[in-house]
Amino acid sequence: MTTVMDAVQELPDKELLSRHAQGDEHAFGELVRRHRERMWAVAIRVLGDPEEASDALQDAFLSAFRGAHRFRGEAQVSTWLHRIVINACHDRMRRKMVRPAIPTDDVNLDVLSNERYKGTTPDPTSRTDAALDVHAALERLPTEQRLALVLVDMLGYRVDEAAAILEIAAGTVKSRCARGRARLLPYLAHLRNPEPPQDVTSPRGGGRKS
Amino acid sequence: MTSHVDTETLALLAEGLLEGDEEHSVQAHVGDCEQCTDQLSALTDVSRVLAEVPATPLPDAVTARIDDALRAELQSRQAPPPEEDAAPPEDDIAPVVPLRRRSGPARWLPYLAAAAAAVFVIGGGTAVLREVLAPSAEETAAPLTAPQPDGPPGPDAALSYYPVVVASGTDYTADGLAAQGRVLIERAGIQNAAGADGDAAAAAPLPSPSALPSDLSACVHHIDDDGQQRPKVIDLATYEGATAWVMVFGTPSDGTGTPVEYTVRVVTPECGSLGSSDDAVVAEAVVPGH
Repeated sequence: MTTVMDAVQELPDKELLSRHAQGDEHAFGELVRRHRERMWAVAIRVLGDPEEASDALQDAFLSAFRGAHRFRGEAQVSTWLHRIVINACHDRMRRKMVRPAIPTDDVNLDVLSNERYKGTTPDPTSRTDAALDVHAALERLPTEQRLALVLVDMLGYRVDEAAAILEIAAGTVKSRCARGRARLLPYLAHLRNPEPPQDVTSPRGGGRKS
Repeated sequence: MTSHVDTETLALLAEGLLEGDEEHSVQAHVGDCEQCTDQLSALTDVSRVLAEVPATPLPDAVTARIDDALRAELQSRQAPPPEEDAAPPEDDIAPVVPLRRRSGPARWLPYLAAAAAAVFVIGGGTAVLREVLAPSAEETAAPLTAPQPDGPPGPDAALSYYPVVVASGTDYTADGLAAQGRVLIERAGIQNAAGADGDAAAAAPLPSPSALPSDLSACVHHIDDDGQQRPKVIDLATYEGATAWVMVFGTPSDGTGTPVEYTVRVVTPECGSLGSSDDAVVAEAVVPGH
């Protein structure tokens, strides 16, 4: 049978957003259903902590809800949502910036990294452990490198997609990723080959700068 | 081979970000240097390690929390003015616009849709539209359906008008209109309105529409213009194969809260933009109330 209304589920994102802006109360819920998993994936990887990520996600959806009229039609709704989530994460990070500034001395970092590694139960194959290590390492990066790496390396976005989300040039995304990877290398070297387990004392385990 | 290339330069090389001369010399060095080649592959591994971080699934609690927050946001938009009789605020988030007030469909619509959304959340088989009016004796005596949405206490206390919006899937016909209208009234559960639970009263709850047509409120408004009539049930259906909205109106109460008879009107979706509400009604039938 034909009904008067279109099923919300079949409407494109942009239509949903504009309906929401015009007062349709179903439209935004559908957008949330469509995008929440992905937005969570972004937030949890940027922030590392589920509680922080869920706060950020809620902030983001509320701000999208309120700011739908600010959506510029030329962008993808998904890109716009990503940007809002990233901004919400950024706000959360800034609020947590009571923690000491990121050390920049590589030697120091290597020591910290090794200490940390020795301190944990040595189960390099543990995925959770790896995730924690990765997050701890990411936290050492300047925010802009971290965001670029989360999008490109962790979530597999194309450089141009990440560039659109972050509103920067594609070349900037690439260089942020490159510098971020270089910086992460000493902290993640022990995760290079999860199986077989790596020898912690191997020279490959630490910083290998010469 | 005295100076190795630093990791960052290697990473930039890998991204193709080095300029001509530098790129050539770095490339040349890497080609001859096992350690730098190794470092380059370690950089690739960084990307791989990052990509392999397991996904943390979105916890249900977070989904629920976000839904709650958005629902609260909706409700704060619709927060009623403290006085029902007070003039509504002039901004476009005016939460409550009494149906009788000629304030235009654009302001009425958000409320209509919002109310339906609130009900979908409850999960009833029937969508309930609610409209806050200054209570009148008849309506407060007979709220049309339940359950009531978890709204803010203000409007709930004053709720008096609940058109039920369904999408029954029925194709109404000229010959069968009275009988089909009768079925609709029964299934919508509006008959034993006083105190009855809408869902419980209906043998088989009617499907809710997944969305409300944007011009529905204009139409209801339009039809309402010539009197005190507001539909008690709206079925988003078809009539003789064409999209139509079937509206059930109750004629004046006999004092028990149940109308003596119902009038079933079939209107076209264009009804809100037609000159006269008479033009919008394509068919009509009367169904006894008892």
